[in-house]
Amino acid sequence: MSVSERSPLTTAFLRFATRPSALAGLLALIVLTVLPPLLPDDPAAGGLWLALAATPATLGPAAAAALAAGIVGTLWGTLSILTGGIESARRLTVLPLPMAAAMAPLLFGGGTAMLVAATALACAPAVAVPAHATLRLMARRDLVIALRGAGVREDRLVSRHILPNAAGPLFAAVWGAFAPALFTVVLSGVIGSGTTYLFGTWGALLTRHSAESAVAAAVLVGAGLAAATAVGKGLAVAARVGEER
Amino acid sequence: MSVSHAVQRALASVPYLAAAAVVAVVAGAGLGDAARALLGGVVTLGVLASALVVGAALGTLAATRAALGGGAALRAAARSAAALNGAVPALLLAAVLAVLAAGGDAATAWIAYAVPAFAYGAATALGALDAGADGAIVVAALGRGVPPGEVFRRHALPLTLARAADGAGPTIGLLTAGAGIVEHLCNVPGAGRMCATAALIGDSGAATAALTVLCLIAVALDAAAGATAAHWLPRRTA
Repeated sequence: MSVSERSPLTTAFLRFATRPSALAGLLALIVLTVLPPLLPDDPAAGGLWLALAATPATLGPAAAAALAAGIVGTLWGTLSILTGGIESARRLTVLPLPMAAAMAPLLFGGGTAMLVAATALACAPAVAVPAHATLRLMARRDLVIALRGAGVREDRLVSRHILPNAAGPLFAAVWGAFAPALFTVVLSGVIGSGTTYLFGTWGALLTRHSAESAVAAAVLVGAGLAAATAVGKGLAVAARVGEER
Repeated sequence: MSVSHAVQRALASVPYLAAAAVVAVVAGAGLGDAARALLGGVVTLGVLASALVVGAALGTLAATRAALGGGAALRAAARSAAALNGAVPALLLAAVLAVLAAGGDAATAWIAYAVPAFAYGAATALGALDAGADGAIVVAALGRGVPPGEVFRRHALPLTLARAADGAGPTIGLLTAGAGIVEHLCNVPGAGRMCATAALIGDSGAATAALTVLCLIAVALDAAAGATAAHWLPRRTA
């Protein structure tokens, strides 16, 4: 089958699959999501059991916050094209916002919901910057300028040419919020805010249980962040699909 | 170093610093909290800045050397370090080191900061030399017969150092965010430990005062990084 006969999604996946680390990362995230509910109910099983049991309490808020950050960041990036400039978001990525977000439930209350909301706001600039770059690039392509000059309506330009081509890079930009969101949730677990599940989170295990569970949690945090980063790099490669539609 | 560039970057962050200070005042931070946070900030700045500069510079140097025909071991080390970029935050490393060493000290914290900085430097250098336009300068110089040593010294290293300095902002943000936990775990009397300790006991005034100082440190480091980038690569203006 030639490249032109494949759907954009198939082409994107094939490009994604050219990076073994991205596939391994995706597999690792699937395993981390699926495995905890299948664990035997045996708290005496040790540090690794505790760390695995804490996975949903860690990945759940991180994924929710990353999704919310993706929505806010994409809107921010879009609006910044109209208002001119993304420098404010770029400046914000320099600040220790994960620490501020991790502290939010301690300062303002609200538990996990506050943690998710604060994390989403803290991670949104990391999405807004690439989303802005993507949309600006798409809107300034020769094809779009030529079609605009030929009298094609703006709504049609956006719906037929800009958004379909921007969808892949925007998805990659939104995914970019997952690793910082996971980092923030781990941070909040270490300082004891936000989540109050039975076995805590990976962050709580890093400092508040046995050395064995701390090392197991550290391995899972490292694996989770590495997997999120590797999948993000794979998505960036895959997102080059459909450039000339 | 371009002082005006540093000032320009720092001024752009003044509104955020002012907002953080206002939040600290509203949260009940007093002059005593501010003084303690500023004193701790000096410690944090010393440990964090030195680890960041040394780690990122060594990572950039090693990856640039590896990309220009260093030995197989150096190439493998640079690629491995680059792959770790983003996967091993300082707080995680500090936690493991503190567990293994049964506690920690400033040296442990320094290592916890320097390793992610090294990974960042290596990843940025490899990316800069791979990227089409920038990497092409190095390839063109080699193709024209410029000796590899001179290409490394005059073309590749300034380029990779400038890229590492210019894009250091998010890494600085993550390291200063992790400072709270790293200093807490390693018993370093800095603004980070003050922030984490105050947050743990619910002292919002002290926590926000320390957080404001951490923001100040991040802005200062980013301004210095921007000025360094402008120095190494004058054609970049932002």
